Amino acid sequence: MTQDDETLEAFFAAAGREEVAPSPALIAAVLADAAAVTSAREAHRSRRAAARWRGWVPATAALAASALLGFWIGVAGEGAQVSLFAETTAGEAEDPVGGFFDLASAEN
Amino acid sequence: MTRGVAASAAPSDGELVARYAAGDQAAARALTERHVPRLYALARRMLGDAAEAEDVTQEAMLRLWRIAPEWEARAAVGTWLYRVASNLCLDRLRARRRLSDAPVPERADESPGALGRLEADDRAAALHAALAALPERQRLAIVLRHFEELSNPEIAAALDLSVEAVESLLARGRRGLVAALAGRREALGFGEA
Repeated sequence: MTQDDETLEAFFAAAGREEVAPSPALIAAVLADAAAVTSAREAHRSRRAAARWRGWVPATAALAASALLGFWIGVAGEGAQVSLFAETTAGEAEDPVGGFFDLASAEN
Repeated sequence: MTRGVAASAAPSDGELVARYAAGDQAAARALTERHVPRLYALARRMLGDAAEAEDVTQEAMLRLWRIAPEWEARAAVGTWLYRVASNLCLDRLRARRRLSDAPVPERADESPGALGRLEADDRAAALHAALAALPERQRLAIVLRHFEELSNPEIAAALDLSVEAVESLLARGRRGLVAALAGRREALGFGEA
């Protein structure tokens, strides 16, 4: 180590003994920033969750309504078909064509 | 032995950042206690002004709080903070230079208490004056090496430079300090060369 180096080290040693400490106010300000950033982040998360929820509720309701409607159409449609078949069967028993046929045969 | 257990049980910086990101304010306190003193000392020695050093320290920590949820273990938290604080200091020094041609203050602090301490230690005061006269990046490298006791690779990571560039900065900085202090050796009790 040269004499210059030794002298410089003595200067650094002298300056290194100085106390350079942050004030309690600085520590408090840094911690307040940390809390504020956390609060802002949580508020942002809540808003996003609420927005997602607002989107899901109508979508789910629409899906459920569609499913119910489909189910109802399925059940009611099947019933209607049975009913129509039943009416046709009943109508055939009193079919006027039968009577017409009979009339025509009588004319001949 | 108890100290060893306590040291091994202490969470890493990365763990503390993850805990803070999950909302743990105790983790924020631990990070603050661990890093704020070093950041403040760096800024104070770079800027020579307590209020500006506080602003830089607070801003560096604020950036850590904001980036915490996206933090990845790309770099050590301490190195990342040194980099942010160093850049903030350099920005302020450049802004000072743009705003005024006046020389940078030679005293580290103008408050009466600090002034008294500096007057009581002429060597420290002389070193601060010599440091203030160095180019900013040389000053930064010298402060990180000789006051914050970072290794050259750590300084390189903090300043985003190669180790060779850091060695060059340190060598030039030391030569500048020696030249600036040469005339005061005898007055400060070192005798003639």
